Amino acid sequence: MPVDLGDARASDGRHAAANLLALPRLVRLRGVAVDAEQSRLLLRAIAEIDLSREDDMRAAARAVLVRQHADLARFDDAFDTFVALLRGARPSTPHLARQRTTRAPETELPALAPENSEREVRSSRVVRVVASPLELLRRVDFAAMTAEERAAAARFLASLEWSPGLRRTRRFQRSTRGALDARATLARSRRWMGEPLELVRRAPRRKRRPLVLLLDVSGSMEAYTRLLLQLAHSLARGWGRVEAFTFGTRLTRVTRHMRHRRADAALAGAAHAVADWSGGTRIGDALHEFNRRWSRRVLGRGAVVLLCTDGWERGEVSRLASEARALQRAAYRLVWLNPLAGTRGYAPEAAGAKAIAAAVDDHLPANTLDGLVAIAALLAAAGQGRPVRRQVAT
Amino acid sequence: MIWSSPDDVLAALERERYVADRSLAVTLFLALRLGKPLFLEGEAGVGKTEVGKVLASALGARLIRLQCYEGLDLAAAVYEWDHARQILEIRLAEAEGRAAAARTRIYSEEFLIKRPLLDAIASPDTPVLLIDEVDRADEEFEAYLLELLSDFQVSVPELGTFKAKTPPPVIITSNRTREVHDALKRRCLYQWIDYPTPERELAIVHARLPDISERLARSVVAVVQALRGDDLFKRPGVAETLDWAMALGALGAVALDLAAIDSTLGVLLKYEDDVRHVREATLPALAEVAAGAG
Repeated sequence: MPVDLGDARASDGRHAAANLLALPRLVRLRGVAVDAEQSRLLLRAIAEIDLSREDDMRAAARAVLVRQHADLARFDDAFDTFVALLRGARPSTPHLARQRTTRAPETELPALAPENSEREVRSSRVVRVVASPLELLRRVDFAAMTAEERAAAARFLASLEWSPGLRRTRRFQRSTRGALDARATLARSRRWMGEPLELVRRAPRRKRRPLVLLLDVSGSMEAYTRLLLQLAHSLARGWGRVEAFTFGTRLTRVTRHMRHRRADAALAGAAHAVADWSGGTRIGDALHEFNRRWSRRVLGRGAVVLLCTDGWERGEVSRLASEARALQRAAYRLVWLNPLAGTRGYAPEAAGAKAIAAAVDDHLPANTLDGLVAIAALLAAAGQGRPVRRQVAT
Repeated sequence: MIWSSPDDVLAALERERYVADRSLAVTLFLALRLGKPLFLEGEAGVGKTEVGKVLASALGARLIRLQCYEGLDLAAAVYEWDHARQILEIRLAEAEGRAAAARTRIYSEEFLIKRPLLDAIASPDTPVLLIDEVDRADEEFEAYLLELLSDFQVSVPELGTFKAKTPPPVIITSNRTREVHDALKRRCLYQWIDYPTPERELAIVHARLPDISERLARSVVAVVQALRGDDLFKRPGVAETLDWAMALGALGAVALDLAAIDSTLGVLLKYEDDVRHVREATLPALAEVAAGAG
């Protein structure tokens, strides 16, 4: 619906009202979801307030068009543009033309993990792929896979059935076994003229545990990043309650992208959002940021945390140690997926790796498909309890 | 409604000693005008729950508060039959030989226990309904709430349907320990409450604690504002500011010095790591901030 904003030269309220429907569009352009119902409500809201006050108009529009804190800055930006347009600024054409293309391009796939060309030419690989791809692939290190093998591995991951761990909720349901439900028994006894003839029992209902993934995307993890993201995607699709974050030098939340139905679109979205691919690692800082900003929001309700990193810390190790311990305290179960752990003779000797190993509940190899399958098995059992944690003197 | 503009709302809140910023007043005004629930989000201790309480007393209405928790069920949130009394009634009726009459009588309103949500809807006056910390409840409750907020009616199978004559003003708060479902937010107007600016926080301290000296109030606000910029696990909210000012007042402190801050740090910071961090790194700087402001 074309609205010629350029002609509304006055900041007079009537002009604002006349051009009001441009505002939801401007907000939408910045990636905030706005539906028709909100646009209608906006008109009703604006009718109630004094349009000569810009701050009131802003507050009213914000109350209607925004639904989460993360969108507030984008809304304010859109509103600023709206006001500028009302005051006579010409809409900048590239801005409005961008409407559709601001979404992450789905076709173009940034290279998450460049294939190692010298490995691709190895002849043994070719033979193996021909023989029985999946069976042999299961024990091959991701770092040594060719592009086709990676694709096969990704397909395998997508088809993997993840049976999530369960936790007891505080909500109860009727059950044949369990504690006596006094309230329900009493209610039932009305049928028998007040005699408690039938005893009703109840047991806690069980629910899937939330899962939080922290993926290291620094240079040393390059060969594994893509498949780990693939894993995140298949978990998010199959499990639902999954939060995903990437970190190298900074922490980025990629949960939204993982909800994409198609894996390549999800990965492209994540690639677009993450700014620190293949850089250095400051695991301690990343965990600190996570503990401060996110742990209270995503670690509720007995969450299981998968920390995927090789433990190469460039920052301070003492900080990493204390943040990893804090993370473990907040999580129901902290699982370390370490691509290096699959290598024969590996032991966490590096200072960073040692610090993480001391703070996690499980330490598992994540360099082969078999490793990831083992993780799936562990997750399924995660609801049944966790290893005993011992207090460590700090 | 008794208010005709956001200015009226602002003034009314001020009379209740709640210092709101203008955007909250506008949103609150619209929520009442458009008959929409108000969804408040913000860090702990910025005064979300207080909005509900203050709104009720400004409107001269009864406040009905529902504290959410995981596993909150219909029996605790909406209604429950008073089973014990029903059974007594049955026994009495049997003894008096009028058992047939009891059959219908035990399902009358007399034996219905109204929990907050039904209470808010069935009440003849229009109360203010405060649904506190909805993020603590589970999805099952959220889904029920969604249904309730769209038509403001509750049906009790044995008795009939209760419908609100005028939908009560509804305030929903969330601390974001979980993302609340979009469908619920869609029913509401949204307002994020931020930490207050120094000026507004000072006004809040004066409004709530008129006995605190100007000098102490200024120092307290300056220190809290500085602490919020620090790298803490849990930043102090307005509630902590007020508690701290009150604690210092109770101790007879006139000015804030290093010793006074150090000895009362536990009122402001609730995590051992934060207390240690401040003691080790920022205490002298805070004392300077306090001295500068006082």
